Amino acid sequence: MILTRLQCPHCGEPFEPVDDRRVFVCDGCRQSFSPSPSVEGAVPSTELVALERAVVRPQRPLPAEGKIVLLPVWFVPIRWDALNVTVGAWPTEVRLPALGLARTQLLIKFASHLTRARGAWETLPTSRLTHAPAELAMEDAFAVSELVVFASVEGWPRDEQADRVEVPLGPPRLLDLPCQLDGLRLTDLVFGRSQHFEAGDSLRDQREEMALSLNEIMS
Amino acid sequence: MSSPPSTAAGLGINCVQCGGVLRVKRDRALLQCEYCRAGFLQRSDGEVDLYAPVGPVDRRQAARALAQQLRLHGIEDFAVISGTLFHLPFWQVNGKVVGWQCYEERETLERDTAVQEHLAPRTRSVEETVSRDISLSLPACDIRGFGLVGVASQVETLPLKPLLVERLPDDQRVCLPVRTAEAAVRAARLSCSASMLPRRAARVRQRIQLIRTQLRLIYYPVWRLTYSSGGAHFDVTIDGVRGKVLRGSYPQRVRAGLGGWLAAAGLMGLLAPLDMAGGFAVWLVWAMARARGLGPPPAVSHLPGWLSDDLRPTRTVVREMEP
Ligand SMILES: [Zn+2]
Repeated sequence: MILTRLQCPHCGEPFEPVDDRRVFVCDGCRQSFSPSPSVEGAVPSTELVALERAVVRPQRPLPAEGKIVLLPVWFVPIRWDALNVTVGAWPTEVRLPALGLARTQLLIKFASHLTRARGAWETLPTSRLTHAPAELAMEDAFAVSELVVFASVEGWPRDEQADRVEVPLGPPRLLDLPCQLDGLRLTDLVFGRSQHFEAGDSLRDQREEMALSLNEIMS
Repeated sequence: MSSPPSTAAGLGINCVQCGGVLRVKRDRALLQCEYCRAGFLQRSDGEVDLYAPVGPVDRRQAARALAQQLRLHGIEDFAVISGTLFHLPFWQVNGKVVGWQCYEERETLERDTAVQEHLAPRTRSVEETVSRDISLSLPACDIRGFGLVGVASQVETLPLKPLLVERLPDDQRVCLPVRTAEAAVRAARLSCSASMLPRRAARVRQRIQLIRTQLRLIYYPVWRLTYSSGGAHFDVTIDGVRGKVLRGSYPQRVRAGLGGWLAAAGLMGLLAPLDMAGGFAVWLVWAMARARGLGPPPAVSHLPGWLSDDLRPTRTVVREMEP
């Protein structure tokens, strides 16, 4: 067994060991850190590794009610071309919220909603916004994404493939999805999907910072 | 919302920062120092960690438990000839099972109307995602001879410490695990896959992922005492944590509720997967102990008459409820 000290590798700031949390955000340098993904047969590093994050640009005006929060979401490309299947209108990436592991079934349902949503997105060039800590590390995201694909694509895999087909997933990226959080109702401002969401406690209101960031881009 | 039982117990590991005791959080991979509050994440380095309950009962306490049990049966005159403390290995698998499944479920029909007799049973198709937290223990070798089957509920609350095999005294034996780590995880996965489906499911398509899996070997201490009474020798095994008689034989025939207990264990699949090699491992250790001068085998009937009810095979499964 190896023990990883939960602290910022850059500034030594200690991280609180919160149940289920695997992505930690430093209050000092504001960077995100996560345990290195485990590779079969290799001893994992005892150090936390830095994680690149970016905020997705809202596609809708900020609603007046509720909090404006950033939901950490793993975006995992699906490489259908690696399989010999006709994709049609199937989703091309899994969008898996990285919070809410205590209610995994709800989480997959939410992920499936987001994954099925259409619409292009782009990231927001800003340094004003604060990333939230998250629960799912990259390897969790990989494992759960496979199930999200199964739950989101109708008619695939076919019966005879279900037990052995490999879902061809690309490298995951942890992005922050701007959302309106009104009580326990979370509505994302990119794809417009709404969901009952209980894991919003760790998400703080960033209405002001978001408005300023959007203004900066406009001007 | 349900969450796995919290493990207030430590793992006998100290903080590298201040030397304080590290406590395991509800999320078992996270540890926090009781003193300086430093947080740690524990991960596997590929090696299996061995743990044992803190402070097993000593031989004197084991003999006292035997005396108590014998007195219940009116036996006062006996002498303990020898005693060996065995450490019996159990795989403990903790983690979260997440899955997707599709199946057809046959709807139950009332059988009392003539009309329905002619109807084919209706089936409904179900597609769902499932998830559960699991904590289950599987014997890592054939431990039936000791009267112990599963230890999940025991180790859930027991303070554990790393087991240092090389530091054990001479009168203690460590049984080798015969079931491999891979086999334990496979068994856990299989048991989860099956438990996720209703009994009437047909045409099943299922994908199960075990995430945040933690695997460790828990060595559960069991004393084996040999005693003499009325000119004959008898063996008895005693739970090394609770100081209770697990099973044994004695000079008087008793009624035992063993049948139902074993049947329950069999149903839970805890007895079936044990392979013959497991028996060999225990035999080997046993033979070694014998060679070192343990008493003669039981001379009279070998009645597995006493079984501790608390040590029924158990699995702790916390099911997530839909809102
Ligand atoms: Zn920092």
